[in-house]
Amino acid sequence: MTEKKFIFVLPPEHVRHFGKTLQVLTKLGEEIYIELSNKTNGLSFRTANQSRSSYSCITFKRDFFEEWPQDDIQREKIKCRISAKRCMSAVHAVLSSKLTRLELVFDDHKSNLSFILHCRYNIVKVHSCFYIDCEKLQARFDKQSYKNSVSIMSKTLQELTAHFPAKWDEITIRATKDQFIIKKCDEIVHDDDSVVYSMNFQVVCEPREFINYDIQYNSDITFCLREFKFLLGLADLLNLPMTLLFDSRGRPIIFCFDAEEFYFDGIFVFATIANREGETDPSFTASQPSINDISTMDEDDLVSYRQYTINTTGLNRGGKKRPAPSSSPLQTTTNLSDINNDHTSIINPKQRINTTNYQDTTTTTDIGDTTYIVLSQQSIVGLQQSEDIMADMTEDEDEEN
Amino acid sequence: MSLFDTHQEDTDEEEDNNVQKQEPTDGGDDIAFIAKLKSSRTLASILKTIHFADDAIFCALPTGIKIIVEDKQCVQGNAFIDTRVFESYELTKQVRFRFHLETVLNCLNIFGIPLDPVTHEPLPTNVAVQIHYRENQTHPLQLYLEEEGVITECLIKVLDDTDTIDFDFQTENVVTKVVFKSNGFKEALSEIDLKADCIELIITQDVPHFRLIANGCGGCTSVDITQDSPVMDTFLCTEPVHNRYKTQFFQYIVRALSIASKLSLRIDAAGILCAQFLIYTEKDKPSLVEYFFGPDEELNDIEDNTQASDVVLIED
Repeated sequence: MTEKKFIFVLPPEHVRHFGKTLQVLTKLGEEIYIELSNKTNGLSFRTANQSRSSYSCITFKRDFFEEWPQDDIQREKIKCRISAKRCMSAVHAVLSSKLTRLELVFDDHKSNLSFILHCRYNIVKVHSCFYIDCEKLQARFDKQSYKNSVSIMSKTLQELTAHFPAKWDEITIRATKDQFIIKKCDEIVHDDDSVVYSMNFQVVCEPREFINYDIQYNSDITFCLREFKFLLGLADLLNLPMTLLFDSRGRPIIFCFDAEEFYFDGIFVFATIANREGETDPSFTASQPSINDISTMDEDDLVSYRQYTINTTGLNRGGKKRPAPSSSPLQTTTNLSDINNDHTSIINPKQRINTTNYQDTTTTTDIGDTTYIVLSQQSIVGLQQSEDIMADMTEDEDEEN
Repeated sequence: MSLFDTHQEDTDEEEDNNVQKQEPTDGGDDIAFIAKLKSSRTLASILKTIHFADDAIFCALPTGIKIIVEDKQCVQGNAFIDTRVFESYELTKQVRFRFHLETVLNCLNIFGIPLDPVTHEPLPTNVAVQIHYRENQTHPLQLYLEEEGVITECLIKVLDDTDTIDFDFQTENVVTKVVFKSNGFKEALSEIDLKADCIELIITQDVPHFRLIANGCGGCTSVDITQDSPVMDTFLCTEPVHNRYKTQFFQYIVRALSIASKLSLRIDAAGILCAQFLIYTEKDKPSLVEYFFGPDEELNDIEDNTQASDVVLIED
């Protein structure tokens, strides 16, 4: 980067949006990667969580800002990362004060990012943090390759899932052409292979709740509830149509929105649980649903991550598709399906649904049938009890009641 | 102000709760001091702002009450409540003693602290308080609190008096003086990183006139207030000041800001910071709370060390 300062100025009406979206990002990851690039035509803030099972990217377009660094050189200028913790305190200040002006200053010389808050009464507060130059954070996924796509207002989605307690680790979506069910993951598998059937409830939605409902493949996917709730924290501020893209287990679910009138858009990619092979990691149910595959990513994988081509938000570009976490990002899709095939042979007996082969999209009917049958038995809205529930009622369920 | 004999209680005295407020039951001992306040909140809120140590020194003077609290020899908080704030104030003899601050605060709040449902700030109460003190060393400090006909009598042991630090704040040698409106200043301090070790205070004649910097890990937070800000009432600066003070001092400042209407910061040539808060409680006469902080010596030490090491290099 050149030895100069990049200054972005936000008008007061956009400050709240900026603060709120950045607040969501600080919750979803430990470091925030910032990139200013002419290719994306915006300033993007990205983060991925520690286990690399979620990826988030929010891009602010040129019009979001009142002032934009004047530089007509057609090359990428800012590529750095900052600590999410430091960012959180700055964002907290942004959200709690009434600002007349907010400036972001990237000082290349000192490797310092300053949030300059112009508050009322001529008070100026500056929160600054160090940044580290790095390569951009990028996940590979192809939005066009997903078979299912639904759009729903984010506030509606928030209301539907509001009563799901944050203590639950995962949330399951079962979608068919006629129904969209949001529920808790069916069972918890403990260390000693004992299965606990616990209290469950579900929300059943009809397609007319959605702005857009296009299901071509009956899905049953499970992903992390906690991060999903953080994401929906944005819904209070912006009630926007949010598009969900998903299909088979193991493939990540993508949430994206485009706030055209506010000049920014966001994309969130969460890993979903694939079929487990035999024993489940006990920590799986406790916190991160990152055990999508055999191993989680480490730093080396992240390096490979960055070598991929960009697949930017809202644009249809070719790119290899892969879910955010995987055993090795360098695998092509062919290899991935090999792994999936291995999984089918060691299927967890509790999981009735097989994984599918990516390329083999036509053989989904089996799974679809299975799913359908299960659904028709469980078409009760509200409490759904398992047989062993009396014995296994835990504290959580008590609170639910 | 003269130091009197120290008073120490040998035994506790138990009395019934139907003691009349007006007159003490046994005569003979001279009452050194009686003061009556319409609302206990007045005294309680002021004492709360300087409640950063266990003990406090109580001085009854002709001009009013002065309470001194010290912490580890590096910060001193004084509260002055003028005689005109009191409903009645009778002083026969100047007294000075040490008492346990938390006990007195609990007694003053014995009828509870009603909070405003919206702002959660303590509301003024109609608990009247009367303070009696006799010079005789067998008698404790007597507090009588009354609310709606219920009287509570509190007898608090007093302790030996101790010396207090004299910061020797050179009022004639004040280098800079800034007066702020407290609610605006509170807003300015609201986001300052209080986890940092120390806070740098820079006051200069040029822009920015007043700046506080807190260096945390991974970055720093700073607040600038310019001279023309409506928050700043007065600004005087004869020479630029750049000092460091411990962060906890600013926590005390923030605490006192919640009941003050104005804050004055003065720094003398030695770097000692005197923060004075103007507090209006009942009546029109304000009370005053002031803090004295010594600057953190680290800044100067670092400079000295650097100079020493330079000398070594040259010699080599």
